[in-house]
Amino acid sequence: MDKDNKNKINFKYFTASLILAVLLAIAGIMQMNIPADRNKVPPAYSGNMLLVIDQIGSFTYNDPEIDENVIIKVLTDIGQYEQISVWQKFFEQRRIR
Amino acid sequence: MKYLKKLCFSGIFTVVLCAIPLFCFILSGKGQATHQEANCFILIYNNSQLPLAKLIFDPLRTDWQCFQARELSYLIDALDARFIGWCIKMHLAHFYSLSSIILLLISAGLIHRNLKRLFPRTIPYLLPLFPLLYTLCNLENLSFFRSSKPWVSFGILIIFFHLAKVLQKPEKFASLRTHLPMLSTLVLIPFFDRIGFFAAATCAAGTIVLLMLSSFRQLDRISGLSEQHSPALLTISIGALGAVILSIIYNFYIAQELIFAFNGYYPSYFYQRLPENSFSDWSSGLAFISCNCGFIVTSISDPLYLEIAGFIFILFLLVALTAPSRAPGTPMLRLLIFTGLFTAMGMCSTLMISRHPAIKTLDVMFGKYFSPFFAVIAALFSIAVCALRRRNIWQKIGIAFVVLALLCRTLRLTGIITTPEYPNGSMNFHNHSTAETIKLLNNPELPLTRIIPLSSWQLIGFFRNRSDVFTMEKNTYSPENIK
Repeated sequence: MDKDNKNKINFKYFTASLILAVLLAIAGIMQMNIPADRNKVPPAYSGNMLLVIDQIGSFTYNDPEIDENVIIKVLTDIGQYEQISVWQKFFEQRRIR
Repeated sequence: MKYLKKLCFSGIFTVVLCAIPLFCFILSGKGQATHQEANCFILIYNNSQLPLAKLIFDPLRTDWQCFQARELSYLIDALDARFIGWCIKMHLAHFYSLSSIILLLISAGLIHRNLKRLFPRTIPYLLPLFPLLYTLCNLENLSFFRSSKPWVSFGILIIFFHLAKVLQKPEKFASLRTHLPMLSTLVLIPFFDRIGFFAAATCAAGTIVLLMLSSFRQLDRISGLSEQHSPALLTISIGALGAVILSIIYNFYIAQELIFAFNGYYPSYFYQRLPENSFSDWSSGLAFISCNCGFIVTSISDPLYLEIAGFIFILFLLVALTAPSRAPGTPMLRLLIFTGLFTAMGMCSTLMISRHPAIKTLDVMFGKYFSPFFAVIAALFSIAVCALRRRNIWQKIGIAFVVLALLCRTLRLTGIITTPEYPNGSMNFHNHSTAETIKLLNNPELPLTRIIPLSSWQLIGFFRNRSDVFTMEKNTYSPENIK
């Protein structure tokens, strides 16, 4: 009976799978304990500002309520003077329509 | 007829078959668009003043501060962006990701090769159909943005088919050498994306469960796993666990030091800290999976129909996989694997949505975010259908699904089925201004008279040698920079 029971489980692989399961659980706990930030990261590059402005641009195509002054002010703030005249033409045409 | 059958067994034929729609799509200029982030990446990676390592280990620029320890994908992004930069300089401007195109063709060949090896007696016509479906479904993801998801999808295909082969013929995988391609994939995919890390962890958990099952001799008949499987499963589970631990060590310790060494700051982990109650919106995760499954089959974008179609498709997958067939393992084991995979995919998509809720909106849902999940579903679908015996009713239904999916996708790609325009454009891709941007890049003399997104304008300025407008080192836009 004992011999039959012994043969029912391959203890070598069973033990190995248990050890691996415990290690995977430890790895899971490690992954959840995200370390604290070591120091302050520098402020975002103003390249990120480009994304924000670009999104404003995307919305503007479809949003008739967008405020002209907001766009012009943002473009002035970031020094996109060449774009200002292009946008002004856009707003001019919108007013005519 | 015999010649046609031979052709279907040929991997080269399949790759050529997949390459035809791919190149037609590219030559027609479809599937590419500028994107505000992608435009910035092109500028950043084409900056020849900075060494490549400094650009790659800089999550402030490459991931907008959202550090995710996926620097290997930034390396590929840099190569893609430099290829785009080179093409722009040659006046052949485009916004395709070269690595995604190459990877898609290799994936098609990989699916064909593995299906042929797993099921040499299947209906020959099925072998090229699945790679073709995989290619067509990924054609709209070729635009340059990030290479992370396409590379993880490719890795998932390698891992999945390798596991299927191990379960089918374990005696062929006795030596460590036979596992090397799969083990190296496991080690690399966490460095491409967080989903890659999740895939490696899922693989580790899954193979540990299978190893445990294989050690119970009395479960032989139910699970189909014998002692022959144990050594191979042990090797794979150790490899997957090693990949998970290595990725954690890199994420929390090595990457910090590398970023500090190259750029003088430590990254913030705020993006990796998941919001509280991350699993509370689990219904959105499930809807993400079912809608995308429906989208594979029907290519329409009505959420209600998609969820119904997706549910029917998932139900079909379950029935086809658990029906008696030549697929690896017993029906019970396949049911266990199916349940495990869909649970893991549901969890992963829920976590993804909790971190980035925009994913559940229709304009983002069908993009690259689903591609790693699609790799799993495509592998499951192809194995389920090819493994069924001829004249089996479920195989006929499976073939009907493939044909329907191919037909609907072709209609969508050729523009016969159209999807509604979303207010902000799909994922903020500049679909309306890309052609204009390309025209302006190809002809440096053309004046900028129309409104185009500022990032595209910046890109044009950069390649027209207006470095005074965009100073890469400061990366700022100040009035002093404009002459």
